[in-house]
Amino acid sequence: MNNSILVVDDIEGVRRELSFLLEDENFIVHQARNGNEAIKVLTEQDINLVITDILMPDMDGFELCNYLSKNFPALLIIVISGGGTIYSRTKSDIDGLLNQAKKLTKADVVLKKPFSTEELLAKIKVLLN
Amino acid sequence: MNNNLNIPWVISIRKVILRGTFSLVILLIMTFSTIMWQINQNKLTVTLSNNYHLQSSSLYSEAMEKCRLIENVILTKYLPESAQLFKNSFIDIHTVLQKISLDLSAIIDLQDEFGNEQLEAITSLISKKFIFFQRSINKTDGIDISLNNKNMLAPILINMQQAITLHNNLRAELIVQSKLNDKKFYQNLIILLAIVALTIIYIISTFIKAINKITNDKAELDQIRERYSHELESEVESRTKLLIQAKKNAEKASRMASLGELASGMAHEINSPILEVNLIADRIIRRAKKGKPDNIPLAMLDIKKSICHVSELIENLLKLSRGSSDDKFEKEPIKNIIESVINLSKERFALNSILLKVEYQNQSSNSIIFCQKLQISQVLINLLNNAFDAIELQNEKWINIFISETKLKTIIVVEDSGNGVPKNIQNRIFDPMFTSKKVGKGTGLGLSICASIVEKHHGELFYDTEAKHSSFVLRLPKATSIVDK
Repeated sequence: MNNSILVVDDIEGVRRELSFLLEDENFIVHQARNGNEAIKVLTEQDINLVITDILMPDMDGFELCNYLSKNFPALLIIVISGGGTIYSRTKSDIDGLLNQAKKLTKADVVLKKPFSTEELLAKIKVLLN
Repeated sequence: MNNNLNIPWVISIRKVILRGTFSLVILLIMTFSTIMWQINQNKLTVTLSNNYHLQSSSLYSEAMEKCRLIENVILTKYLPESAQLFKNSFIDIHTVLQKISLDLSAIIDLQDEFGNEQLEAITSLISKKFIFFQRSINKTDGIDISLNNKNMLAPILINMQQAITLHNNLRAELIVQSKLNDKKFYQNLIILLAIVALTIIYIISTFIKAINKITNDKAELDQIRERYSHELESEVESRTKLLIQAKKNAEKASRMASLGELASGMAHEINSPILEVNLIADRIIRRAKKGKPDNIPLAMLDIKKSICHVSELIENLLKLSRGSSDDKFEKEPIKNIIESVINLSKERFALNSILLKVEYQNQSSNSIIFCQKLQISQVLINLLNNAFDAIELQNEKWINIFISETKLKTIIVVEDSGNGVPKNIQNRIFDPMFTSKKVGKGTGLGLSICASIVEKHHGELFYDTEAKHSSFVLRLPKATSIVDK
């Protein structure tokens, strides 16, 4: 059953709330604080989907995604970005940023914080089915 | 005034005037002597003429005496007792006549000296008449002198008297004339003196006027100069004010630019707590709907924590936007500053495939500096942005930040993979308004403002000309060294 999800974020609150949300939706949720922890979890658990932040200490989202695309090519990835750069002044800038992030991470979906729970759940359902 | 009179050209004019006045005085003395000599000469002439007239008239008087004697002799001839006298010849008429003739010739000689026509005429008339008389006497041989002869003498005597009168008149006239002449000479002398005096007065007054005018002009010029210098000063002052205002505006503009960077960098940090709050709210609603209410107070505490984090971030933003005035100097670990700056830039650099490396050398990760945290952050953001702009379009993209420390200083080196600052502009990069960036990319204020911030921190910011790549070095005093001071 494709219902095992790994949430990677350095902010404890975000990690916790995403876990609550996904557990309420009957997913099996694992947590990691950064890329290194995530890789550790991945080697120990059977994970279908990774939801990861970009900016994290130790191993960040870019490095993690890079690693995943090499070592776990079948893994589905959702990147959640803070979206804070000098280019994100207009909607097209934000789109450009998300495209750039998608290109760099080779993620299946990129979401910009803050996103709605419905949006996230919809994306997850599409990816896992 | 005294000072003005001592200026060199005034002194030389004064010299010229003194010499001129001296020459005038000499000239005056010479003229005066000449006039006096002339007067004296005149007096001598008058005396001489006077003497001539006196001599001449005395000669005439003698001649008249002699003529009268002859007359008397002629008259006595007709007295009965007189025949005897004549026989004895007690008087020789011819001798007397001879003497008269000599007198007359002496008179004629004298008259040649002053050449009065009237006198000459009367004398020649007398001579002619006398010669005529003398001839008539000579014919009679002294014995046959008649009354007729005597009658011939009368007009001669009258003429002689006339000549004497004429001499007296001329003499009187001469004296009057001489007195008049003297008077005229003295008058001329006075006029001359007056002219000279007036000339000297005129020269001196002109000089004084000129000096006064020059002094006044100088005073006026001084006033004008003073006024101009005042105007210049106020102009400089107002320009300086404008410059200061412009600098302030530029600083503000740069601050706002940094603020923009910071804001976009902070978006990430702010968006995460917002997401968290959003997710908590969704959870509570979701679980309430399902009839499994959550622990609300606990959820609210989480929300409050997130909100506190957001408000802290916003407070920092506001501080930067307000400027540095209320940003206090505080002891701050350099690591905190570097990390906060890196966090703001990391995502942007990562998205542009720029490799960002931070390396703490020796014990520098514990280094503490005494600073305005946001100001130093602004300096570092600026250096990182410059590095970003320099390498954005290059193939090899990396930025290294090396932190090290000495006994007194903390040193931060920002190095990028760029080609470095060209040699010809290296000494201008800290000048305000200087930029080598493309139009619209840079204001040219970043580094100059960084330099002024670093200066305020008693630190140094310079471009390392020896480095292989672009390398900016920031040296800041450590907190301990500041406290020691």
